[in-house]
Amino acid sequence: MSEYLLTSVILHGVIASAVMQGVSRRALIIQKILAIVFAFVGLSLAMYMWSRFEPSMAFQFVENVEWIPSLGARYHLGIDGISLNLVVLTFWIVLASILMACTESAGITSACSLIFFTQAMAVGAFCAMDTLLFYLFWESSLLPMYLFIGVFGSSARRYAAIKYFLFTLSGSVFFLLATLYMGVLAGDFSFSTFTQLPLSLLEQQVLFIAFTLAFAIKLPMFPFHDWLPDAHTQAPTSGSMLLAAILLKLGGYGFMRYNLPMTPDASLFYAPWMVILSLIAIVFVGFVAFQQTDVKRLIAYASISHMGMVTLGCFVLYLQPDNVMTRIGFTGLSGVLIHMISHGFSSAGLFCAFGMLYRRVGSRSIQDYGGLMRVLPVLSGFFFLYTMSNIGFPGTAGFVGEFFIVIASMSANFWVAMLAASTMLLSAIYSLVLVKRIFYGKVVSNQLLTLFDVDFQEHLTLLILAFLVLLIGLSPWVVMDPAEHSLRALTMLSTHSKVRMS
Amino acid sequence: MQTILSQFAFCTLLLPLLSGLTIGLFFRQERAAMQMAIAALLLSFICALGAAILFFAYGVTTESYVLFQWLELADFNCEMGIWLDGLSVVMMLMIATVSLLVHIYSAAYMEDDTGLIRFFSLISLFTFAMLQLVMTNNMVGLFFGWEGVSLFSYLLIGFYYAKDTAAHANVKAFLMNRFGDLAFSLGIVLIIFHVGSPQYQDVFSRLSGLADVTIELYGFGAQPVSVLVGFLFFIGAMTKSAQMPLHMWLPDSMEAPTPVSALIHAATMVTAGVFLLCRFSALMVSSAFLMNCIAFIGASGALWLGVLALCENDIKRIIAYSTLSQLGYMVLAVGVGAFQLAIFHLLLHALYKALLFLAAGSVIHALAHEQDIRRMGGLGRLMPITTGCFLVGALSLSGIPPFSGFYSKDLILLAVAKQSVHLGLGGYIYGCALAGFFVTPLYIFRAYWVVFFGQPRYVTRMPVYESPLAMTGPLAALAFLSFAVGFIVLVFFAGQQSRLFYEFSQVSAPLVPVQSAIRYVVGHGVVGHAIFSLGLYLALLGIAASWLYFTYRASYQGAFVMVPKWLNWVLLNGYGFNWVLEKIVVPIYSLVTYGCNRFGEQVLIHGVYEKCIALGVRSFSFAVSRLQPSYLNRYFAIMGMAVVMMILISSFGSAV
Repeated sequence: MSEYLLTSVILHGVIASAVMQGVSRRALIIQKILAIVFAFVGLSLAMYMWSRFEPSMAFQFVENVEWIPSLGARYHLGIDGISLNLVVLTFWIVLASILMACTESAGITSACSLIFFTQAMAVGAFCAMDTLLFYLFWESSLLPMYLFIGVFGSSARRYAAIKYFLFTLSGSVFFLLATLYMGVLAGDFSFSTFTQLPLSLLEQQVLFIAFTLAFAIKLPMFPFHDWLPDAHTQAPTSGSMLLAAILLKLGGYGFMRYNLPMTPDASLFYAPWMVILSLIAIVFVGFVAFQQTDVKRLIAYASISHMGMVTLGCFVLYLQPDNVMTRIGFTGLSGVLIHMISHGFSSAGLFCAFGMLYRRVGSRSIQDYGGLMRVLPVLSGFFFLYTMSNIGFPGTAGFVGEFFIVIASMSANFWVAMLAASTMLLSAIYSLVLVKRIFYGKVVSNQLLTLFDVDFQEHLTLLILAFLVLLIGLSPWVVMDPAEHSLRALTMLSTHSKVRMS
Repeated sequence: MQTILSQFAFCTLLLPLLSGLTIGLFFRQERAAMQMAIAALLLSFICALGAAILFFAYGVTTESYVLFQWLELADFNCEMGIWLDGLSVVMMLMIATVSLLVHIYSAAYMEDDTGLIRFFSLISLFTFAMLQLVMTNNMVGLFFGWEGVSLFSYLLIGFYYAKDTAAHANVKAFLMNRFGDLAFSLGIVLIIFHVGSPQYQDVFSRLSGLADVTIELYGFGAQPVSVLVGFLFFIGAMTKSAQMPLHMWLPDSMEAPTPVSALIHAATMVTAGVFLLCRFSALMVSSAFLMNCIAFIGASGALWLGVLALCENDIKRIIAYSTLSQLGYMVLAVGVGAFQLAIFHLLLHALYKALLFLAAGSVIHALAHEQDIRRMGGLGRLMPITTGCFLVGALSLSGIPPFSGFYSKDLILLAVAKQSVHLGLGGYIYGCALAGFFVTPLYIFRAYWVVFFGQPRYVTRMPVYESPLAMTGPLAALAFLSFAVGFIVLVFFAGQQSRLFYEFSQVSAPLVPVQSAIRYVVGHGVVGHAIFSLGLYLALLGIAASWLYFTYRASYQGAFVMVPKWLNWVLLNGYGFNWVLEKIVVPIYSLVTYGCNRFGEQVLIHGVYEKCIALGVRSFSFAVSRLQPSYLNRYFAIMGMAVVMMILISSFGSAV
């Protein structure tokens, strides 16, 4: 079983997607059950993989077959602790968003089909050990989300979908060129060849910029984030969940797989700029989030601010004093990984809980809400829990990553750490004001008084995400145990100069 | 014995958590929730008592027990567990006691309210968070508890969630605390980074070494880590313990139900800052300037925030300002190096302040949620037990012997007198501490005379009765404790063999005179010493003055009705701190965020993408499309030009 595990994990999504398309004429209940069963099967595959994963080894479950011999590209799969966590994250989120999509009344098959296809492509990208294969999956993950927003979105869906597509695609062009350049130079396309390929500083700098454009747009990093609020506001709830929890992580994953180990000298060179951009994302976008009147836009800006922490954790590695570089760099990268996972769960939770409100009230505008604690106590409680995770409250998932990244920043520079930690306050300001406006005070309209609290299926969805948020917050070792070895290896690679001797 | 001790301690810590979670998640019966919460707290209290007795009987100094592994990495190992030393055992016992009494009291006080399940769940969880804060064995766990108390305080202030004032107050409290948490977390991060471990045993053993390590603060030169961490922790303590000028959240938090105010905003959460300063006393003493700042801020709060209590008419807010003033005394004690007195005062204050709050709650309950003292009066005959208990609390607060507040306050005054000569602005600090002795009885006895004596001014439809036993019982218990505890535990805290706080006695050289003065006085009788100290006379004078003004002249208006209008405004607005926060800081934040959103985000970023890049692409494609008009002759012309160009280029190329 383990031999083809990764292929089957990827194929699961493709098959599920195809089957869901096939049952579009069947009864609604069959569609729902089938989708949920598929999601559970996928999750069990992922958890099986998690249980079989050996924490002390590097890449595992490797599959390596020829793919395009003339180019030297191979169908080369394998996962280490970093990808494992992201794959498991993907399956949990897919389960939650399938459950969410299944509460809709129409278009279930298409929505679920797109979700599964996104899942397959994202998992493929996390498992790929060949850069061309990675590129294939990376680009393909764009399509289902484009359709998702464009077909199922709200009023301005076309604008948002095209914007999303164009932004992401324009980054990918440079990414493809950079990949081809390195591949031609090295003779094959595997990650390990690329990381060992000696390159001059100039080459590295050019490649770094090309990679960065792609990942910075995907993540998104300030100032490339303009597409995300639009995409989130227009996407349906399950689409927002996937987008925030999984697709953004492809960008962070890219930084960890490409920029740091493949162009370490250029990363060192550009690190101050990347850190400055990250800090702007944290502080400036934290300010901007406070001004939003659209709840989904606010959560989107919060995501951008959190992704600033991710890039900060990656690049603050290069601002360390030499004697602690690997030790603290490792702390920072651990923070990045945990932060990505925890942001996945907490932002998905926020989008999910707000999606339930949206379905009941039909408005994204904060002023249409008020006093809902009285009407929807259970939903309020869950929303509050995810909010706490979003503001990095200790005991929830959001705390751990932030804490580690702040430790890493502290070692580099006190003021960087202070600006990074300011997210504690800024995020609390916009989040709690949001909570106050939606859940506290008087019930603003009679319509709100008639709402029903969550049903069983919604409750289950919320519980799953809440469980994960608390699990990671209270025992972050579930993430760190499998990932420690890989993160140390990554730290070593990232701090090791590879300038070509000429 | 060790295992029993650890089991007792774990039970103390975990029972409130378990009961809080179980009630919140599974209970649907209000009565059962109430009973469950009280039973769990009773067990927790018994365990705390058992643990404390074992701890002191067997002369244990420091114990650490691990509960579970939070995170284990090769160079970062964090084990959650408990840490028992004199400080944490005393705090644990105090928290469990007050919390138990407040639980019992709430059962009667809250019976008419809806949401009892939520109330008891939250208040039990709060107790857990507070116990976690004082009992944890590592820095991360400390931060868990530290933030946890903010969270449950936030949820309990907003207990009446439909009230806009409550929703405003809880956000204000949380965010102001969060500001301090930001500083505090940076301090924790610095410690973890420099010590390499979050566990207390590593941290405490290497804390003094941090004075030799410097950190470059670009713009502020290289500073010793210990001083920087000390300042960061002090900012954290200032918000949590509501020190000037970060105190504004505490009076507003009186929106919470009265038992919550008694537990959280008098006895436990607000003392967490003082606890923190004492826990890390080694950091505080590393900088004389820092100690001076602490003393200055504490002394200012002790006097000036006490004065504000005179202008309030809401009984809960009067007591809240009194809490601020007493917290100022605790912080002042820290600032003059009398750490054990800070904790001693903290402990006694927790008892008599909870007593005052609960007595006030008893009045509020009897008058159907009337909180304005101008609409009370003459309740002494109707509510004798409440009146008596309030009097005990007031006497204790004023520092009249033999009530317990006397011991701590008198000793703090002594320490201030000894130390203030070495401090910058020492005269001001000592003056504040002294004047506070006069102001304290003035405001608390004003409340006492106005509420319980004179003509009844309340309007109720129901006759006013003494509160039921579930409320008067805890009152009586607290009254007894407020009366007796001070004298009983004095020697443990400040005596010659005060093994309880031996770590504080090993303080730096400048504090030795203070410590020996305290020991001398405790050894030779505090009451005897007090006869020659100004504090006691000022307190008696305060009581007399307030009696003259509020009873003899039968006035029940605020004391400052006759002052000029501007001064009246200043006092009623708490010296304008609140005004600055709400009318200046918050609008500035709104303006900055508005500017960022409007000009940064929408004009610069969005505008550049929409206008420049998108328009650029469109105009470029337009220009290119002009090259392909649908006229055959133009195509031919372009083709001809291209051919000529190619020939020219190739010929030049070959020529070169």
